[in-house]
Amino acid sequence: MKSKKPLVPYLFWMAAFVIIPLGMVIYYAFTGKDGRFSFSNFRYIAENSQVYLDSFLIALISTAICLLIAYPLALVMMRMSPRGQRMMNILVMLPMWMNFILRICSLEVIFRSGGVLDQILGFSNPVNHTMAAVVIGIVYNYLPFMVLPLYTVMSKISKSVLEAGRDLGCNGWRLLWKVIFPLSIPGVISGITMVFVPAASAFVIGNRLGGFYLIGDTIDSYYTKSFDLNAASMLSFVLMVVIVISIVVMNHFDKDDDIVLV
Amino acid sequence: MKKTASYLYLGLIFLFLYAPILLMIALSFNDARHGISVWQGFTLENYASLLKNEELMDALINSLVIALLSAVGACLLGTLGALGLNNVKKGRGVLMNFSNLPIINPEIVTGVSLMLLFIAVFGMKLGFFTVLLSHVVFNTPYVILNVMPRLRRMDKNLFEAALDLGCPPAKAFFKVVLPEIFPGVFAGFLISLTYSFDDFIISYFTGGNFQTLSVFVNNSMKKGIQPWMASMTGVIFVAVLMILLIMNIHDARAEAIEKNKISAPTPKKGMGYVKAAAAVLCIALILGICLPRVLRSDDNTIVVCNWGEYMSTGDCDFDVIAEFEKATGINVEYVTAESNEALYAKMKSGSGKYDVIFPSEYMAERMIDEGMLAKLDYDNIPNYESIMDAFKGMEHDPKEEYTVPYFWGTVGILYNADMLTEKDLAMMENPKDWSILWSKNYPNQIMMFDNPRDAFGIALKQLGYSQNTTDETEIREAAALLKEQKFYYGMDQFFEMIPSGSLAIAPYYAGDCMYVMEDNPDMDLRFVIPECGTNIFSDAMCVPATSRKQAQAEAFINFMLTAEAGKANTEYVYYSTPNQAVFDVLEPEMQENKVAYPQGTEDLKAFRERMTSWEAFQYLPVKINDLMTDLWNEIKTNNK
Repeated sequence: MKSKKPLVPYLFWMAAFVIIPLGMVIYYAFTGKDGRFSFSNFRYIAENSQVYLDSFLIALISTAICLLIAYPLALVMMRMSPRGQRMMNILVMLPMWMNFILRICSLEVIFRSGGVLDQILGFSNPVNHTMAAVVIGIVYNYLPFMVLPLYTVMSKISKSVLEAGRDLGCNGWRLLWKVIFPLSIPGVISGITMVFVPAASAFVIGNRLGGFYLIGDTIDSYYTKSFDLNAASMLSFVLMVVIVISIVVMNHFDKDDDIVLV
Repeated sequence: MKKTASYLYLGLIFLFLYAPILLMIALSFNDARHGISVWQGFTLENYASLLKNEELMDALINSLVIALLSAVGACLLGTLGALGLNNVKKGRGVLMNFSNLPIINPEIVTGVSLMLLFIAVFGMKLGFFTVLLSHVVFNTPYVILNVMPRLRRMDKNLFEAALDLGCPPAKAFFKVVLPEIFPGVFAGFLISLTYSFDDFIISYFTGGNFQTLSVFVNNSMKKGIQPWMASMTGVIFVAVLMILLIMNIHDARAEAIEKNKISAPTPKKGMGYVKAAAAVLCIALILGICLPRVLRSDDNTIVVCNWGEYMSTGDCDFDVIAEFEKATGINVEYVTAESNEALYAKMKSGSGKYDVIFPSEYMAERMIDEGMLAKLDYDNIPNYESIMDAFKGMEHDPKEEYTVPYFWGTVGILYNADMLTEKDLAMMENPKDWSILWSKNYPNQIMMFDNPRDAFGIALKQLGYSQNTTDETEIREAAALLKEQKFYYGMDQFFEMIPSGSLAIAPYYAGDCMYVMEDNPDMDLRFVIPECGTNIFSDAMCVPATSRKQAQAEAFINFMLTAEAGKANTEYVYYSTPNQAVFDVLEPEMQENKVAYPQGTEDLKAFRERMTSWEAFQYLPVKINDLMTDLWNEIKTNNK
């Protein structure tokens, strides 16, 4: 049980499929069109600085909304019977089995002018093709990633701790704030990570629901429209660095170095 | 009161989560071909046709096999990794961070870098195994993240105790450690399955010709949400719901047993082995059925890469591929690509190896220039005779060496007359230019091509420049013009949003406009080409230089030129045929349709020579193409 041997095959695996690809991204990021080492690709960062800011802003807002929606949901789930809890878990996970592109197209059908929402409302909805629609799309897509870790952590809070809190005069909001919330922090942190990371690099969602590119779409565009690996790699590299830094910073709020998942 | 509030809350959240799914399932009963978001009547046909769609079934099986195998692989590797990582004291944080990189990285970075790894470093052929490896790569961290907490909470002395009692380490692991961490492994398995099935980006980049369901759906989006996509969603939804419910009931029962007899684990464990054996048997059976399909490849199979919905195949009445296979005995692996640029990128990177492709003229020109196409042996394509003179020896292939025309068409404006103001309506009778697209009267109701070449083409025409200009200032002017309007950028949306009345004005390809007009006879839809000129395009059938089955590929091209296959394709796609033999057998209404055949009774060659403002795209120098992509990204990121 104390042996480190099982790690050996995994280390080889990581070297081959994680480290080398990472190295290749860095290699292309710092190579010019002529194949020589160069910093010339930094111009893409400057040109796209606004896109980075917009993408991170949208990702932050979406993550916050996910947290606001998912936290009460996890609280409600926590109070259900074990059977009910499992049912909830299934229902939260199930939408992910609908194809990603179709999920987004379906939302587009709902929001577009004269679409399902307009017909229900009777007037044209103000969300159509705006930043708000993109945020809704991201929240829709990644909400399960927030709910599941929150629920996992909360379901492990033992009933006796809650009872002790009540006995000591904590009720309602105080119990939530003083007892449940501190214990749920690992779940909050992994939830934020699980939503923020894919949201920041989201692709297709911005283009279809908002009509504009986010950084994920821009990277894709460089690759598919002009086969520009250098530009795509440089933009990806910066995106990756920012995301890794924000995760490391955030994990400092958590004493335990585990990311809690489902 | 509190309870009602929380149920209300649950209800609202699930309404939000399920509205798009329920909408899709409702649409699966809609009797429409393209543009299924507009209700046209009830049918069950969309479900019946699922089974007939061979490409779809292949993609579905591919997806299921990959999901299952990669989840199993990730569980094995992830459990090993977690066991090892758990025993590392120093530097575990760093190792964990590296281990998590595949999920921290944006998917597109993981996808592209893995593709480069397979091609450039390992020299592997992209396909089943590369997709499988890639899925294991991004699934393993999820397994580790699920197993680690269980391992850390486990009492380490248990394992030692088992050893002290004379249990060999391997047995101790299976008897003591595995049952303890199993819930974590299982959760990791379920998550891996879900992610793998849903993944699109990574499979897209690492798949080569191997298409999973997500990739197939994405490449088939060309003409909007297809009926089979909706019915597919319905089937998958119900199937997964059933599986999860059965698992839930099973869990509940197991839990009840555990509650009643805490001290009697022995019979349960015995049952566990039986179940495990049954599960292994099931998996083996599934793999036995699927693997031969997935791994099949023989010398008599050609890979045909077309655009989505650009050939009469799948569940069509006359399946040209099935007919070709029947007539020649050559097998066809049919795959789809998203765009000319994506096709080029796939071929250039070595990730796409095809025998027949359908590039547009400007891309064919570029491929010829870069030596990517094979010279055709026209003796193997006797039906080439019937190609109209107007399409022989065109600018991109003046000596008739590399290409065989497939379809052609023009770009014009389709508008919904009921949505236009009277003044605009009068103006659109005979528009001088494309200025209606910049009107401020129709916010959110004017579409623009969601690809740089077509969008810049229109802007350049509007400014009176050539669509093939290499003058940087002219291109920058066009970019500025595009920025002036907040367009609804879209492609496939055209097929959904014109019928639903969401768009008033949309520039689009003539054949597609004709389709939408015919499919919606109640609407007052009109098609017009501005006087200042437009783009006239043609797509060609070509054989890549990398093909080793040129003769079979040429047989395929020849078959596509037969009157029957050509007619089926023309009636399915609605684009204009460059093939006289096909044109002659079309319905008279089709032959006389001015949208598809604007030349009327005039000789097509003479007509084309007269319409000098109708330009065919030429391929742009790399520098200009890069500039266009830069400007395009700038336009698209600012279109808020």
